[in-house]
Amino acid sequence: MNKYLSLIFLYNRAGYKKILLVAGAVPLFFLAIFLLRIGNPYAASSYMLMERAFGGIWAVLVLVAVNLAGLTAVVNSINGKKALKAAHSTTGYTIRRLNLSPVSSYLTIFIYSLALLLIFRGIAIASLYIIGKLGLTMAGASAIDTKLALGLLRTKIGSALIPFSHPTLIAFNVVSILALAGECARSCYLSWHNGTPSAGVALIIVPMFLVWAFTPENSYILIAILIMSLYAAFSLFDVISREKHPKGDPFKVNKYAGLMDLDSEEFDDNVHLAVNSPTDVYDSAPETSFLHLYGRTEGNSERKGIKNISPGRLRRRFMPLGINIEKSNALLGGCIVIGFVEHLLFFGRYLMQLRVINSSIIGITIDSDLKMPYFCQLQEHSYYGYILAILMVLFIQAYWNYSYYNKETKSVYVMKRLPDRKEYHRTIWISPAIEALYVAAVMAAHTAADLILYLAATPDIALYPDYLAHILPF
Amino acid sequence: MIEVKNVSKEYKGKVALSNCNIQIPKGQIIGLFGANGAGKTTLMKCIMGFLTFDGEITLDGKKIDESNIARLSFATGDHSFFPSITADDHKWFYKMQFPTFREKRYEALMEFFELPTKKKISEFSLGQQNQFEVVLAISQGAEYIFMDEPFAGNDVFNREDFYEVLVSVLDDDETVIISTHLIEEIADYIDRAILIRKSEIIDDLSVKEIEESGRTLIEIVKEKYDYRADRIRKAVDQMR
Repeated sequence: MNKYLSLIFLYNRAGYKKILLVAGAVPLFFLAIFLLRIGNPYAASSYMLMERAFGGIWAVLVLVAVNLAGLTAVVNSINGKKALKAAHSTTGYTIRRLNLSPVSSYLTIFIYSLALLLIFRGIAIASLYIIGKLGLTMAGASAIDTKLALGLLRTKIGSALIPFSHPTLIAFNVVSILALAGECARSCYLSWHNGTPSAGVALIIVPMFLVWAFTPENSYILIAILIMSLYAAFSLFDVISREKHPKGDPFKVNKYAGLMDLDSEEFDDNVHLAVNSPTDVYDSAPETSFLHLYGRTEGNSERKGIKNISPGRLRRRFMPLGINIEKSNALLGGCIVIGFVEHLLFFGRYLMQLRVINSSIIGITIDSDLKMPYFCQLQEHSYYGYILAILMVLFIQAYWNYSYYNKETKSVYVMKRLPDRKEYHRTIWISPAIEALYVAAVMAAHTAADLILYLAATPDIALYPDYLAHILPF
Repeated sequence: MIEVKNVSKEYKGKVALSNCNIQIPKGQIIGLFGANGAGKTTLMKCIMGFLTFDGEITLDGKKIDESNIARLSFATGDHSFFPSITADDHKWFYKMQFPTFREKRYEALMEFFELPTKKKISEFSLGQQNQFEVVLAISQGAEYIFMDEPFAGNDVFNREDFYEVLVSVLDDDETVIISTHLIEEIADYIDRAILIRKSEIIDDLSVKEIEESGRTLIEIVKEKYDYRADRIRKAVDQMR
């Protein structure tokens, strides 16, 4: 038992402050949302409090963000203060010295993360109850405040956290919390043994946000549960398979430590990640050079990406030299999938409405003046995914670029010495901006496809006469 | 000439450099000596513009900025390269970014150190990585070359060879500032020694001054740093 506790405490370096900060932030954020939505509680009615307090998407967003921040703090603190390969590898060695197998260390961190997540949830529920009760008392509902305060938990965020009458949501919460804890543990495992933490937490946070914010039909929640269960199972088996079949690391500096000596050369030379290479950066470099992969070219015009513009090449031109392109591609692809999936909301609404309309058409007339809603009405709320994707790709990629220069490598000392000092900032910000534009372009193409579907598949009889005037929301 | 005037630097209230004043003219090899944490690296990073500081640092009377930063190069102990690309790729990158890059010198040094050109830098040994860092710094075409612990991980033969090569490869107007703990090894190759202790420059000696004092550089350093020869004996006695 002491070994397992050592594992937690040895590596929980200065992390407790961040965890406490995050735990404290939960009630503060809820209080802020409560006050923003209610205004002066003395002037509000109990009914208004019931209707509006904690409602809306913001409370859900805050809770998801706080959960994410908390977990990141936990993972980072357990991984050690420095995101350096040496720190991670040293952690891996220490685990070996404690005679803990990687799988049991994975399970230890899993339980630790699970406990913290439950504490976060407990704090969230308690703060909702206390803020609600205080607010109701201020609004003059003293006699029934307890009952009403409990009722407040049935608002948007309350029903997400404590889904009294929604069994599928209860199952979803259980699966999501297990998957989150598992992904945190996997992230630690990968950091300790491969030097690269996992980014899979985001894959769980996004469906959590979608389900909590929109509380969709049972069938959608069941699909989300299935996806999360599969992902959680993948996380566990990924850890086990990595342990059984250690892989070499393409960067070699982060090679799989495991039981092997760091100084040994026992790594798999055949495993190579695609990294942003100089060949694409400077066309004149030899063909074997990595420069070709990086989108850099020798001529000034090409250096600025003016000549030979191809979307992929342009993006690579403005990525840091040597950065892991596969990781960036995965982020971009993942973000596009998030936007695409959330935008299917339009498709679902449209098909549902079309089915109703088709069943109402009798000959050349339509029953009870049923009409297809305007295009812009059907599009409502279907862009959250794309907006989230744009923000994610912009800030996560920019952070990765910054982190590559400053943490993964110390190439910042070269970049800041370049006569063209803007190159450093360019290679941090422009590639995420280009990726954000790609997502925006996919969003535009998706909207165009929606419009074509709307115009082509909707019976003319079911369209409003002025439907073309309501294509855009403004 | 680089002029460091009244430069001070604090990290979260802890003094890292205190009122430093030095002048670095062209054509010298300067040793920067001091214990760990004395402020050697901080001084170099301030000169390169990586850190903010109080005071003034100028190059030929002009503040160091993007217009003249290419006249300085820096071999850090932290390995300031891109580990996942090859040495050849670095050469191309430097050629693109630094118009004064000296390709011939680069090729010669790579050959001298027997460094592989087609291998990723992350696959180099620690010693090779240090050598490569130095090769890039010397080949950049800078007038002032700063080196922070450039010989860590290199064996004694390699270091001896390196000193010889360094002295012979440099042009008359090139200046090298080396921060190192290997005082005795480097003593014969430097023109000047700057001693830093507890964030302050405590001495700035030319070779002539060292010779006139009748003592070796290491003896002077030991005296300046209040080295106590009996501390080992005391520690061993305590442990027994």
